[in-house]
Amino acid sequence: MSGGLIVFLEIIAPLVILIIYGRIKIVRARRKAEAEETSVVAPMLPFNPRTEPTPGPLLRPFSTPQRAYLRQQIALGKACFYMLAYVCIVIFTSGLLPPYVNRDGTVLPFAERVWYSYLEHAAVAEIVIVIFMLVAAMIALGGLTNGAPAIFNRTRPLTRSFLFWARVVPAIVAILASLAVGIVASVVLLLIFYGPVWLHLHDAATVGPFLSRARYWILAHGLLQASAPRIFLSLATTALLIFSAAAVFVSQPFWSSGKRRMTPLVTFLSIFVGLSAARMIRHADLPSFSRWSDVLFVYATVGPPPPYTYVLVPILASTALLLIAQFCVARKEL
Amino acid sequence: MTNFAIRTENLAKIYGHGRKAIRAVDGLALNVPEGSIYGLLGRNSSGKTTTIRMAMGLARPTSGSIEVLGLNPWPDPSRVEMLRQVAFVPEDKANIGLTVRKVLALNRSFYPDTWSDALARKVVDRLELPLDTSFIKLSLGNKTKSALASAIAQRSRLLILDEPTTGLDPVALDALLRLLVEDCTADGRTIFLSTHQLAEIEQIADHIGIMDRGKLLIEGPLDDIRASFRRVTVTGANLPARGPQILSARRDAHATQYILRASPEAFTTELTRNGATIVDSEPLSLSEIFLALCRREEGTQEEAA
Repeated sequence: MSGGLIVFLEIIAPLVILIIYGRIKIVRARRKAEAEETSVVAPMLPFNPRTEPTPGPLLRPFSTPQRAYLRQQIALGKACFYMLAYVCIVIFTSGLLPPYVNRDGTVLPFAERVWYSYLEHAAVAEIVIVIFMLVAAMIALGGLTNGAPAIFNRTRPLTRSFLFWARVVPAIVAILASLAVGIVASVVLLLIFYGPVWLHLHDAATVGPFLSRARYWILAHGLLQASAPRIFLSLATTALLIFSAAAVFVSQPFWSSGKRRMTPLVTFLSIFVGLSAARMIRHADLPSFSRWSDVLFVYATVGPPPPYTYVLVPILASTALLLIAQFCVARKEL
Repeated sequence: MTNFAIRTENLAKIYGHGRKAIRAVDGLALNVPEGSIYGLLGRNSSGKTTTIRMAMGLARPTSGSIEVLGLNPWPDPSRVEMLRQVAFVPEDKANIGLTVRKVLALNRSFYPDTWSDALARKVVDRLELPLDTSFIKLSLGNKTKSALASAIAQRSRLLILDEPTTGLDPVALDALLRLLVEDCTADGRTIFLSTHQLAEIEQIADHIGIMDRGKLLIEGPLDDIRASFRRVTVTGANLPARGPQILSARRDAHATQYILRASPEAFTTELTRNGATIVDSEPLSLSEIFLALCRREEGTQEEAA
């Protein structure tokens, strides 16, 4: 079975399980309803809400309405986290599948093959991240900019800035945490199945003469200069940057409930823009783009990493974009 | 001195620019007294919902001013202070995708100082609201009831209801009207509702305002408005067709039927003095007043065009 097929099956498996589970639930509910029709109807339980649980140290500084809203957003963040963490684990570990490890034959020594395949898949994950960040921004800010949920949220006694940051911060935490879980899980699996391969990389000068020119280039200019921590750091900063840019996009007036006819077009355009951005990132090693990819700390191919100092650029740009998004959401009319 | 729950001055809201600009609200001067049940009536696209959106801080006035409980509803923190004291049922009754029980529990957390569980139970009971049916399975009427239960149980100083009768059957509508009168007007609380249901609003409202094409055609206590309109049937020669008090004049073969506003008695006295005979004089229902005002406004607009 090819590696691509395995990854595809891994990604769609939860969807299939969810569909089957949903179907079983519907059938059970229908049977229950049929059974209730033939028996005495149980009386409806009265409205007796539970008192608010004692807030933890994180929620204690907030007022009761703020806590109610934050609990909702944290629950949404958790759901996003589970989904994203699963996707990250699948993508980061896909490079460890034997079809990928041995994709280019056995010219490179084993440790190099494993490490190269692992890093390459982690770097390519930036493309998937772009799509997920667009969706995450739509989910996070849709509740303030569109339809009945936005009207409900914006007519509760909470400031607009609180409404915004209480949605954005849990979303960002969920994104970063899911990346961290994906990285940790993939490293653990790497250690379990292959051991600490990064400790066994050969020197390019020693191995070089025995390799073809192309393989030598990969080894000398790619693998041995690659920095795993920077690949993962770049994933986090790029995710943050894309999320913030998508947040600005979602908060624009054309993304409004009053112009629903535009929504399919705008959604299509956003996916198109996302895919184009993903393509640009994928080809970040092109000379015309490499400078910008360095400055934005985009590290999407195995090779020389961008300097650490540039990590501040996407963080500052994301902060600026989020402030713009907050301003736009606050001014947005429903 | 009268305190106003909602007060607007020369309020305007324009959507779009240039030739495509739409004046949704045009120079509105609304005065909703505190402690009243105020019905804002109007045809579709008359500007009622836009006015309510501005009152709830969901839309910003293009010009003019609006105050809700003495506070500006657009900027924070006065918006938050206003929202603490206002319950709202929007035009779009789709809720946030939860069961009614969860919606009530969630809303309860937002208004810990004023929320009443007992009142929530009463509303659920009176409106026969299913608490545990999933949102997708709720009918339009039950979605409306869910939004109403949530808002009424808040026991806010001001209850703003945008088309609160959408999808309600006559029994539920009657139960709602009784709830509004019995449980929502205590302690000087105010109800401000926009609706098309003229007959029902006539039962409970003490103040009304009629809007058309973004403008307020009339406003005031319902009894005063009823008293100021009459249908008068007159016979005689040289009867006037136009005048400041004449909303409409329809000539039949034997008589002329006037719809009059503002001091109809003075008008009929003047006609009698000129030799005319008053055949019949009767008050108008709210529905008839509404139709007469809207048709008059339509005629004025057409003449202006």
